[in-house]
Amino acid sequence: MVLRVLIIFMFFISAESFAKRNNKGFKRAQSYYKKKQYSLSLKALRRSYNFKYTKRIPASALYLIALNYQKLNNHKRSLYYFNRLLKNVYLKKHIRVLRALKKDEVDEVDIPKTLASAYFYMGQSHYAIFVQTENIAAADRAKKYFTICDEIDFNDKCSSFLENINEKLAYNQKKKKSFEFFVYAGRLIFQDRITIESSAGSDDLIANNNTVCYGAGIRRGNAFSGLILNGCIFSGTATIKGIVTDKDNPATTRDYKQSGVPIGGLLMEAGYYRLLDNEKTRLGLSLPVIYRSGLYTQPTGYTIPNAKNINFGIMGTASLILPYLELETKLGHMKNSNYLMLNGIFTF
Amino acid sequence: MVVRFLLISLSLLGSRLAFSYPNFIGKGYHTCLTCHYNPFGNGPLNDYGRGVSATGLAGNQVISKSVSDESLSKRSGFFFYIPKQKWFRPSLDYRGATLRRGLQSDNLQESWINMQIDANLTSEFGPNNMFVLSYTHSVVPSNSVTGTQNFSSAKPGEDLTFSREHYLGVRLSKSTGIYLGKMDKVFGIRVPDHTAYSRAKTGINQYGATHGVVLHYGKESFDWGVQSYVGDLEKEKNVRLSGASTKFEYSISEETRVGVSALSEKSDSLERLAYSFLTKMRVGKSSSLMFELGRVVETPESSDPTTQQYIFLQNHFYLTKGLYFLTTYEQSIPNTAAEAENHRIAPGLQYFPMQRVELRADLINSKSYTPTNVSKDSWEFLGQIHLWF
Repeated sequence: MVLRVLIIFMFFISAESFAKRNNKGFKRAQSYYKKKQYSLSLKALRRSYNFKYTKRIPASALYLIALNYQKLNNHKRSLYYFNRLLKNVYLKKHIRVLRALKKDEVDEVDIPKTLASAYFYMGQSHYAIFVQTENIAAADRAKKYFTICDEIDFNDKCSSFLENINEKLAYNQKKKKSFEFFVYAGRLIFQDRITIESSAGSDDLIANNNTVCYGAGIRRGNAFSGLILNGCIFSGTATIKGIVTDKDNPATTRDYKQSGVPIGGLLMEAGYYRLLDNEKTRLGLSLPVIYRSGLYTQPTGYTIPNAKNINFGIMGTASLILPYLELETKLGHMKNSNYLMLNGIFTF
Repeated sequence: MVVRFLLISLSLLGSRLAFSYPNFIGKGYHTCLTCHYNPFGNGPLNDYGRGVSATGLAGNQVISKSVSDESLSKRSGFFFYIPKQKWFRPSLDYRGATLRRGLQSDNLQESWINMQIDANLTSEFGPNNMFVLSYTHSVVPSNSVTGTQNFSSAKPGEDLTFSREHYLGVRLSKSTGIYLGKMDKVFGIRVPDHTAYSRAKTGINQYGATHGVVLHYGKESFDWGVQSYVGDLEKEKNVRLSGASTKFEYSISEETRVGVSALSEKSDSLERLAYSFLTKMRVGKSSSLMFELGRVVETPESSDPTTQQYIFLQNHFYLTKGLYFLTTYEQSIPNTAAEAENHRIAPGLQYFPMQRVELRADLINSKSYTPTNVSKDSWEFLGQIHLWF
């Protein structure tokens, strides 16, 4: 009996001294935390508690461990200990808060200050992970905790964090590159040079080409910029005029003129564009290659060697993205040629 | 002397725009009366318009960040502040341009044109400031006068001095006003590009103002105006075109405004009928699209009528505050019975580095397509500086 009493007495004595020692350690950890010496604070806590057995760690110590890890930017560890705090101490309350959140009734739940504070810091840790990794699940969790904080007016910063997360999510979404396929139709007007040759030499004729163009293309880009590849076939008529050296009498010249010449061809472009003003305007530069073929009449003794011709150069694009349709204007300059295009674009 | 005085004054004094920029539907401004005294735009800005030009339109790159919008707005007046009284609002306006024609050819022609040297005085008075009196005097040096303007006061080769605009307006109510005097014709989209086909073909160029009376009726969602005129009394009698014009614009949404306009006028030597469809659209946060399709039937004395058609299309891309990229595409069919077409495309930049200053540069490619003739494309560079005080 005496022995039993002695054992119980010794147990109480040792438990009390253990608690006293822990309390001292906790106070020391708090003191380090206040001095922003987070590693030392953790060290002091580790001396007093076994971090592996969180059920034996009191709520205030768990909270302090989590905070220290957060301050040391070890957000995963911080979240682990906050989660342990929730599970060990506030499980029922936490479940009630989450249910209320779904019903948009969080403000009706009486949330203890420590739990509210834990939500706020957990939100921050998830936010930090989201910023580092762009992990959407982390963003969703951060939003969840900041929403709770915001609903109960815990901290003014919560709404700012929420706005920031939404902006960042939207920005990340915009950064994602994707493919777009589009078709277009429009007018292509251009002036180029036709060479006419005879035994007397060669001369340049000017050709004004008035055509309609049908095409398609593909874009690879995000909401800010991208690459574009497109092509169209065109057909129309040309008017040609120039002064030609007389093949029989090279000292004299003759007028050459032809109207309504059927022409057709293919225009291919590869380029880069930037989207501006809320992604509603597009400015671009491209390198076009054009193949043009015309049924020009060749007077007897004369030949037109470049009736079929390939030309290349540079083209500038400006387009407005309207509802359902993109309105595009293009101005290009190629060797001896100027190109004007007006297109309506439909993007799938 | 007058020119020198004006230029010196320009460098010393305060602020007023004297033009209209309908592109700023891109900023949400649908109606001209919000910013101008004239309900159809152009001419001097009112106090609100000056504040907007200082804070909303001009760039802030060269302004210290410590200067607030409120402070900028307060400084936007002619005297670097906006007086409480409304009866004295002076302004000065200068627009000069360097024009380089024949780029890409051996015949490069360079010239400097003083397009606009204006002095204006506007006064609002009466109960609720219901009366508006405005007078704009303009000087164009002889080397900058283009074409025959037929002003009685100026002979060919002389500097041209004339009144660009003067009128007395009475705002009978918030929605109704009557204006009597010399004003631009109420027709089409009033763009500052006076060489645009939409202005040149309809005779509404920089010398196109006419004496008459304008009735304006407008609310937030629409503007309607009708003008009856007797011609510009400063011009020789035989060239004065008298007639009537009208314009109706309606905002079908917060972004889009559509409209129609018509004009019928006659002089001793010419009869003109014009009508147009127009639309202005806000795109994105601050960009815009303007489109006008018009037809003009002209019947010169003892000749058959000719029907012309024009298209005006201008994209106004917002790049950063005060800086815009423009693409102007125009098409003109001088005679719809024939197949000839003229095309003009002009990419350009417009920059308002600060209030009172506008810089603009356009590269203009003109194409003339006819079945009977072939002419080389022409390239021009137009660089403009616009100062307003």
